[in-house]
Amino acid sequence: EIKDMEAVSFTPPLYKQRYNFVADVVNTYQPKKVVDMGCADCTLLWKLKFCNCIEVLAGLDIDADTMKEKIHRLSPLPCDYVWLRKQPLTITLYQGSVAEKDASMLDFDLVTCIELIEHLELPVLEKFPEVVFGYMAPTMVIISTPNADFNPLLPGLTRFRHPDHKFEWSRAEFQKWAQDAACQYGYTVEFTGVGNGPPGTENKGFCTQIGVFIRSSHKNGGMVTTERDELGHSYKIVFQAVYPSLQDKKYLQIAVTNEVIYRVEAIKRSLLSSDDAEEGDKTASKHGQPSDGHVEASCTVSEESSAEPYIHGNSIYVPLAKLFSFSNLQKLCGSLDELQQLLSGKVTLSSDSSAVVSRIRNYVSESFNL
Amino acid sequence: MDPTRPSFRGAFAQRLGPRLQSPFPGEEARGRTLPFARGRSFQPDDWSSQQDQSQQRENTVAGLTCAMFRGLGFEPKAGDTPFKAHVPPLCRGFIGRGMFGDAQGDVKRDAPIQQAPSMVGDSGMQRAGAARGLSGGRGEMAASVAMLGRGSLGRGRAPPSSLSPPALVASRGPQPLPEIPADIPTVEVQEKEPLEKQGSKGIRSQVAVNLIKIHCQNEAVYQYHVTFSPNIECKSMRFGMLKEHKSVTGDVTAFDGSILYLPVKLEKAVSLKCQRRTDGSEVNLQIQMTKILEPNSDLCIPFYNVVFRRVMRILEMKLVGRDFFDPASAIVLHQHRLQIWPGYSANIKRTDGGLFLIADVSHKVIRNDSVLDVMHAIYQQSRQNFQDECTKQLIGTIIITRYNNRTYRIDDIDWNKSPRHSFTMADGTEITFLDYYSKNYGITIKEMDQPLLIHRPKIKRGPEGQILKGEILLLPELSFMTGIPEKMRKDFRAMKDLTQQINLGPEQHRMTLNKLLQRIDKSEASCTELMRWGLVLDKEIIRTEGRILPVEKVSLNNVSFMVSSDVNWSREVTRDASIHAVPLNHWALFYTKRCADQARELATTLMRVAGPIGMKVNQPAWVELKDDRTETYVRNIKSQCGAEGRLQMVVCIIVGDRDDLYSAIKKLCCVQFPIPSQVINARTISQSAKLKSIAQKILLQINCKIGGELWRVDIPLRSLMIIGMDVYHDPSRGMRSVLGFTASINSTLTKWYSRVVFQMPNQEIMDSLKLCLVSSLQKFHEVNHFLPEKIIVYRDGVSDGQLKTVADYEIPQLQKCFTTFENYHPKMVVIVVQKRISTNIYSVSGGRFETPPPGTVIDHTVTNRGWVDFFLLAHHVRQGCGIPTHYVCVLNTANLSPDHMQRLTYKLCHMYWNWPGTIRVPAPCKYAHRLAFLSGQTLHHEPHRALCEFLFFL
Repeated sequence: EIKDMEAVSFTPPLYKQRYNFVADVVNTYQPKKVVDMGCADCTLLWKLKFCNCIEVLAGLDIDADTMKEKIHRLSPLPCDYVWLRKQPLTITLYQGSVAEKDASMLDFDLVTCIELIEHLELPVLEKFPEVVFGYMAPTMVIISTPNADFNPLLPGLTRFRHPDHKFEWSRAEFQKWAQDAACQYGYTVEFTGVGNGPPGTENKGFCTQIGVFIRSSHKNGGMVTTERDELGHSYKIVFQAVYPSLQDKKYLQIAVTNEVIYRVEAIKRSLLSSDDAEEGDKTASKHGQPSDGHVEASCTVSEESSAEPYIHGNSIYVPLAKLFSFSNLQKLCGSLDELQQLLSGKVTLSSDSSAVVSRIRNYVSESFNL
Repeated sequence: MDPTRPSFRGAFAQRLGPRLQSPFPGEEARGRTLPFARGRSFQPDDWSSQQDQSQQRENTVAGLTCAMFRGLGFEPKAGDTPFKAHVPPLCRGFIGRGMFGDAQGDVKRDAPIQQAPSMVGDSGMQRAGAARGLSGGRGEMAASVAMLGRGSLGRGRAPPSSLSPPALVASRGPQPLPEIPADIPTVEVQEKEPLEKQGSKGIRSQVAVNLIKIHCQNEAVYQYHVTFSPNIECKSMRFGMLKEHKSVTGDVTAFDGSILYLPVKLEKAVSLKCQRRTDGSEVNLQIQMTKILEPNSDLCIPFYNVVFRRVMRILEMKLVGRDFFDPASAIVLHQHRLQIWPGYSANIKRTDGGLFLIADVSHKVIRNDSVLDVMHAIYQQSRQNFQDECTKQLIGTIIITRYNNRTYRIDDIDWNKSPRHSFTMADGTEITFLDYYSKNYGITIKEMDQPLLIHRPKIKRGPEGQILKGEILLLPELSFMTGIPEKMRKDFRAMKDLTQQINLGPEQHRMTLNKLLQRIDKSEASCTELMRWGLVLDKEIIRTEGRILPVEKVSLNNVSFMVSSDVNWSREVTRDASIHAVPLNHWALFYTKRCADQARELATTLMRVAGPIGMKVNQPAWVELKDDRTETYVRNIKSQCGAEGRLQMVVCIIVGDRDDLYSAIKKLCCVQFPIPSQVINARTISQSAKLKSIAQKILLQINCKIGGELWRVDIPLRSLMIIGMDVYHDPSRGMRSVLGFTASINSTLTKWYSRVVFQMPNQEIMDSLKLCLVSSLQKFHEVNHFLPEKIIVYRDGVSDGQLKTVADYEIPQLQKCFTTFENYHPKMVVIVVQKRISTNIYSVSGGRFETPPPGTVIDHTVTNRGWVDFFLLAHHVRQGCGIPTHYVCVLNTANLSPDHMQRLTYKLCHMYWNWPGTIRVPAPCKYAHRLAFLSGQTLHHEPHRALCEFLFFL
């Protein structure tokens, strides 16, 4: 919100420095579930969606209109359907007040409140620690707010940095508030910030002061599900995007089939080209016999002879075991059974489902093209 | 970012009554402004009693208008208005469906308004009258016509501020304040005399077109000018400041930094205050109304399209390039390592029939491989000329990046750079590609030794002439290829798999389009989004009436026949003598030993099939080559050409897909030694069962190439020259383009003169065009001993945006050529030919959609408001949907009637000798296309002048 003013004196702009700070924390601690409270136009969420560790990303703001402004940036990109994520990702935006509790805010690893608290009216601010630290009780909380000690260094500033600010705290004020909250709800807090003043002004601190809270005690084990439901949902969902990922069977199947067909085609090509070289004994020795000299030559790994591809009739048979020996298919499927299951209905399998069958086209007529 | 950048928010209910919920107690103000809003033909007495003093000028105009109205025989008529007694006529119904109750309420509440002109009907006649009256009455008319650029009658009146509003639209953004009119703004009357574009020849038929009618439920859109004082340069700050006053403007706004559009009317002038964040100083915001627009005004269309894009986003469609796709419903073709995203191209346009959503079925082909994968594959296949091969296969292709939703064209590859290199970011800091992608997108680059792809956007210059946007470097690993791979295009089987998914028939189209409409209809959020501007979509695509043009008669030398319903006359053309068959006395046949038998068989067959065609074919000079190397062919053709001075034709048989050999032969025979040539792939003549029919086709083509004439269609116009033009854009050579130009030089339109011009990017096309035209006219004179009285130009390769340039700039330049000849003032018609359009025609028969028969024409409703234009489907549709060709007449000093234009065009679609049937475009365009393509793709050089009179490029 205060981009305009602070851009004057900081490179990169201060708001970017704040977001980078959060991104660095995320990359260090690898939280899976992150919520940004007071997410405004969702710029931080947009940045965080590129952090691969996050599987659940949520945003909360009182103003649904502001959230919706650039909402499309949170939708999956077209390429997300081609280059699939390994982990799932769901982004949800809620409209609601930080003074109210909502069960969907439970179980988060990281809660960020960037330049939020100074916009809160006193009654809301009073409820805020109870909601965030007491109720939501995430592993980690990041709270940033303007440092009033720094204000004299900002040219032309009369009172607050933004007309909507209800207060701007000095370092002492913020640290006292933070320490009290941490103490009450079992957190430890460390203070840092972003935005250095010009040399010689180090005593003023950072332009933005940041408190990083880490939960010190295990919270009383969490509530039972029924208990949570009773608490109900005071927040309204305004947006939700589920990203395609390999956790989704549909996409996993596509990825596996794609890889399998690629491998089968490659094996087929090398088998046939070696056949061309040794034309003559091709059909004579091959029937039903899985492995002989030149077939082996065309395959990289041949630990187990029964796992080798072979030609039968007008088709090539590539055993699933052979396919499973490729590391990326191993990574995708985990087990041979899984591979078999994923392929069923997608490619032609042999009668005992142990091999992929691919017809050999009449290559002679095809190579003689225009 | 979109320039209009409206931030539309708010609830459904709010749009329903801008008047009811307007924060202003502006009834009185509305009463005063209504007359302007409601049209221009009023009763003088009532009218003048309503005037502010400042509007005396308007008063006289209105009086004049009304007088003219009367003169034209219009009497005040109440129509079906509910308050007949005091309702004078009006020229333009401003209140649409469902707004009547509202209007009535006004009348009851507000006494003075009863005398004000009211609103009824929408009669074209009345409109015409009004427009005429206006153009006669207003002094500003000349300016208005110049500005809108068409027709002697003009489009209507210019707003009081004269030229400024359109200028504003043209160059958006903060700029010097235009002169703001002092008086109350008036409605923009966009109507004008409808252009005469409808023909009547042919049989009427029921058709459907992929346009969906949009009903505008708001009565008007209000245009305001927003002034910031002191002036604010920063656009985003302007946006922000206006946004702070949402309570005044309402949620629904479209603002570009200075022009603001609202669906609601504000008080006459609004003055607001803001605080500048940077220094806390006070800024005054003046919102002054400049115009009241009809809700379907052209000015609204840009932000309506923004609204529609939002709707598509709500439906979870992804915008890629200009179309919307649904990657979640991708069809994956594993065998070909690609996936097809179904989708739509859709945008809002205003046509002769009103406001429409033009929606077409579209597909995006995305390859599963990154550019890096493709490079690896190329490396596997050809290590030696890896870089050349990459250049060949990759340059010109469109890629989509993994980390954002952008598409780029690959213009070059930088082999000297790698992801380890750094670049300068916007804030001046240096960062390596590795760090950049890792920091911003969490992507770890795997391959360190990849080159970088270069995209060169169109050069944009800043105020001091500095280049704003230079080269864009992209990582192959993070880029996906789009489009059909070149290799796949040549694979018949693969293409069949693909076209099955992509080429949908008319019924499938209908279903797909209906699905979209239903999705919009069912989504409350989408409807709300549209309704904020009062837009409501019809439930189905429009049905209207088209015509099927009369069947044409094709004449050979001795016989003529009416074209059959399948528009194919291959049988006739191989059975009966061509109009003019040139004896093939001296020709040479080049072949390798491997093809000796095929060569012999071919020559024998050619001689055998020549008789019926009326041709005489002698034995060729047999040249058996010892190998199939390019040099061998070239050396032998050279020596043969030298030895045999009278050689008419070079025929080569080649084996396999040999682009290099093909272009070497063509270069030799088209540029160095001007001899018509025919290159035949051995595969084509390998099947003896088909040899006869193939030989017939080859022979017909040879006849054309050596100056023969195959068939003709009767064209009643005399002393006529038809010109075809097309441009080929070379993707790899810095977008150098090649202009193909063909002109008819005899009365039966069977002799064509052709020229080719190469031009560098940004080079003036005009000089070369003039050159082509003058030399064609000279040739025409040489042949006929007179100059043509009429010249009809079919110009391909012009987009909608360039139409005005062609009309206002290119054509006058062309016409200057005529001064080269003494006292020569021919009539001229220029018709722009657009093939790549998103309008589809379906014929409706018994409730089912089918492909329309050849000759189907539509010249109303879906046509362009600014021009005389029509859609004609000339070809026989075998697969998919009937995509017609759009013809836009940009000049017509010959006064050709719409019927003439349509029929002439259709006749010319019969005249392409490489195909015994109709084609999509007039033959001269297709000839020009072939010529430009051959010259640009293969020859890279202007063909030898000696070939100008032959169709050597077929």
